[in-house]
Amino acid sequence: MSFLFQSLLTIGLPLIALPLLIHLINLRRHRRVEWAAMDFLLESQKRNKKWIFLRQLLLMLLRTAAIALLVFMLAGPVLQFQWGRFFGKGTTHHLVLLDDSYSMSDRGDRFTAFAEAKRVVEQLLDQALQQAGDQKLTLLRFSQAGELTAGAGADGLEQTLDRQSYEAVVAKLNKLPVAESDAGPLETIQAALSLPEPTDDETRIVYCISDFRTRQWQSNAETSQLLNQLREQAAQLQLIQCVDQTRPNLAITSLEPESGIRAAGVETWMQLTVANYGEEPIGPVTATVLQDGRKLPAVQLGKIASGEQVTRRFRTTFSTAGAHRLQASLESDAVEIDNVRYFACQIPQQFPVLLIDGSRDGDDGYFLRTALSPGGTSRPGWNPEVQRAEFLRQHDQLSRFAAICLLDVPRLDESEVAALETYVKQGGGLGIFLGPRVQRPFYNERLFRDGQGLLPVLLDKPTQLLAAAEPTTPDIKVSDHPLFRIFSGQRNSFLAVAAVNFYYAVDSSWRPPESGDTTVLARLRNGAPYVVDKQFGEGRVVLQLTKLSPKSTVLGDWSNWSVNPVFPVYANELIGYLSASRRQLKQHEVGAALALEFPEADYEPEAEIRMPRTKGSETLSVTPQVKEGLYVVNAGRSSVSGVWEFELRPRDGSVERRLLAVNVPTGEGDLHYLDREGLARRLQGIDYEFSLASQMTAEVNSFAGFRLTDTFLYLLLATLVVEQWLAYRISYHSGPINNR
Amino acid sequence: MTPDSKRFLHPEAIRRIGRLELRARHIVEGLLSGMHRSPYFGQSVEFLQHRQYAAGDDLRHVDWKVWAKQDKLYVKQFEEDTNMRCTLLVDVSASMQYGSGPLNKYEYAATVATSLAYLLLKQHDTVSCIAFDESIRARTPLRSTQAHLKAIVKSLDASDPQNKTDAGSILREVAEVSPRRGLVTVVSDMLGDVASTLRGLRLLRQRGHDVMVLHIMDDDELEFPFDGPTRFEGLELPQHLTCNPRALREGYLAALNRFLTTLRRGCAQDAVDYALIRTSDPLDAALAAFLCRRVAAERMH
Repeated sequence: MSFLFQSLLTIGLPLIALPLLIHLINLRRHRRVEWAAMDFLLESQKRNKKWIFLRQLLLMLLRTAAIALLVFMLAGPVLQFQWGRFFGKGTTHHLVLLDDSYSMSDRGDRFTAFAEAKRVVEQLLDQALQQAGDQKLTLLRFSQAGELTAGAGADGLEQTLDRQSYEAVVAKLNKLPVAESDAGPLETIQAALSLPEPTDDETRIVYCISDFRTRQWQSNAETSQLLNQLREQAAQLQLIQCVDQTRPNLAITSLEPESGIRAAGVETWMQLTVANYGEEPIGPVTATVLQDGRKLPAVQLGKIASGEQVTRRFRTTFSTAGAHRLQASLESDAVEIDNVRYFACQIPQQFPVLLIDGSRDGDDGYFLRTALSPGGTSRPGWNPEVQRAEFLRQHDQLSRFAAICLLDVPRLDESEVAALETYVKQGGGLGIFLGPRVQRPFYNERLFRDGQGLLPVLLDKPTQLLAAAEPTTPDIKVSDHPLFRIFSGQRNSFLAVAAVNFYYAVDSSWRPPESGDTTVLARLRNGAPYVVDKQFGEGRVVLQLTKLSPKSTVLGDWSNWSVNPVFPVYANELIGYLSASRRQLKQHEVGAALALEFPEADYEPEAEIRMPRTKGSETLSVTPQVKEGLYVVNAGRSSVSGVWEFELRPRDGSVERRLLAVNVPTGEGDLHYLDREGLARRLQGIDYEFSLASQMTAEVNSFAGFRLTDTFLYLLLATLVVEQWLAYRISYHSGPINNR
Repeated sequence: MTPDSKRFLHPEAIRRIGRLELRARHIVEGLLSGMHRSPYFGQSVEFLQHRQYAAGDDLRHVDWKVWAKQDKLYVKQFEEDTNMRCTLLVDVSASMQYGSGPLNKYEYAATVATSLAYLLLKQHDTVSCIAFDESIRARTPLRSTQAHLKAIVKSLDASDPQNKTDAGSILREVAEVSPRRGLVTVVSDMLGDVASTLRGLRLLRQRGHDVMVLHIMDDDELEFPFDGPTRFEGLELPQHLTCNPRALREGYLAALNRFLTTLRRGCAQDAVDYALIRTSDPLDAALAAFLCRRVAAERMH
């Protein structure tokens, strides 16, 4: 027989000695009476000595038995033998919480942690089948728990455990791979709590089989709180640890363009980040990169210190427009799933850039357009489009532009300003080049608007930059910003030839705001701001306080900035910087819902989806849903990482391929775990049993069987009745003598 | 302590008993003339002779037949009326110390004895008081004056219960030293050798004494209401007993019952008047009830 509440037994059993103790204490605590009729007393004592002793002994035994029965009853006795069904009733419900997050693919000497976990489940279920009473099983995997708590509860997963269902569960487990998610224990425990509470004859045993990673168990107070609630419902909580050491592990945590994708044929800088989750430095580390199946030069990351991550840039060029993919991978280590990272993108032929040219002869637009699209063999990837200010009123057109530039635009009307502000707030980039035609009151009142508008600074009058005392002093001083990277190092000489004669001064009352969203990227040699950057919503505005074109004006030549040899580079960087957020791609993680939208007018209502890493063998044909002029293809939730392919049918009869990269969540590769002591500190106050999967032995189901609480209750009542009757019989309740 | 006769006089008791005439059932010798019959004229109580009526004679004894015949008043002489000799035997042994109420057994017994003494002295009977335990502790002579009451009170007051009881031998001694018949009243808890006590009582009866036993017991002794571990230490016996009283109660009460039955039967057999009096009973009611029973029994004879 075992007991559900062993601690109650330990505390209660010494109480059995209470009647004897009270008897012994009372013997010493008697009162004294000087008595006259001793003869009668002595005679009574002599006659009844034996019977009195026997009856009092029996009374004490009954009282001792009553206390023992009470203690046993409260301790929850469970009889494991089959004939226990004659004395009690019982169903044992085994609630198994199985961690299948990808950290469980941690490979030890022989097996992965997940393989150990599956072996433990099989062993537990096998033992359960040999126990007395009815057995039930609910198996919850961490990766499925999120769906259960969000939608249907976990009670539908409960099943009777018999030999047939055991075989089915084991067969399913054997085929079950580790999930590529980072699902933690919180949702699983919530799902377990959503089960109906145990009935009176149900004994619930909870098993949490996991690797108990520090990242998931250390910092979440809600987890331990909910686990405690689960423990209160259950007769026993078992925590089974599947790992016994922290192995070194590297993971690729990022593979993305440095500042958004570029157009076809344009060199794109990608950055690759690798984290070292181990406890020792690892290196030198080399990452292999494949682009559309073709190997690129390996990326050397050098030595990575423990707990640190290293980022490296590498160049690549997507030569054609269309769907492209990159895959970076590391050498095999403890967890392989996070050694691979994917990137997919749709490369356009060019990115359209809108130039609103307000200069008198269109000269500003000419210089910028030429810098962005020089023609010939050069392919910067921009398609500049010069328009008048009225074009801004076509609000639905603006979103297709990677960036918009205002070139010496005198003023805009309200709707144009509003359209620009919306465009920038939604992630667009706006470049403003001033000039002599600029109407300063408009810019200050409507575009600056006390610091709330698009314009970064409050303008003062156009001002002449006086000749420097030292002729060799450059007119422009640049900051260490990617825009001016071209001017760093040996190429600084180009800065020396950049001349600024006239510029718009900044009003003396203006100060950079405390919010820090406005930064001066370049200054003139007199300290006056020259290029100013402002974050506006999700986009940004870059203001150049001089005219772009070198052509002479009423005041004279403003600057030769646009004829500087490196101006095209600067212009490309500028447009790239302004358009970065519009060229960023959304990252998808395993478990996220995947959907693709495309215009109803341009495509047929059909699509094919190929799942990653199946070599095309798993293909779905879907009919898209229609939503506000768009077709929407839902691919469901991705359970594996890789590149999803969507095949669309444009109405011109061609076939268009689009790719979506899905990566595993980062952080799960941190293999630091909580051992027995660590868990004890973290889960203080929760009663549980801890064991290592590698050391699991038999007899874990000591609580499976028939509960005898009711039986003990009836025995207790019977004992109390007999005790009271016996107490009455030995004259405890007799009445007085009346000799009258 | 200054003896105080009023301490032992229970006013209620005296008032009740004052309405009754204490009469002996049998012939006793008396020192004073009165309503009692003298035993010296024999055992019979029949007519002896006439004498001429003198003023003050009881008209009940006038022979009306003679008057009817001779027109002269003569009184019948049957036996010579004597004053009653009453001996009060008061138990002052250690067992009489016990008491659970306002009066312990000794105080109650002394009160009863003093009440009887007062009544008897008022009737001009002679009264003697003997305080005894295993021997006679104090004795007052037979006197009939009211002032004698003080001597009785003094003898009782001086007696401090502390020794064992030997009522049997005391009764035998009293029988030996009291040749003249009278009333012997024993006021005691009768704890001791019952057989010896009954022998003593029988001897007194055989010597012609009228014997009355007032058996004084405490409520605790009759009911044994004790609970919880108790160490009983004998007041007269050296033994002690630590026990759970409830476990022994049934046996105790059985033994007590046997004792009381033996005592009652023994007294009944020897025509000894017996009354069990609880220390919680009102003194006057107990005495009045007993004396009423005595008067009723006397008239039946």
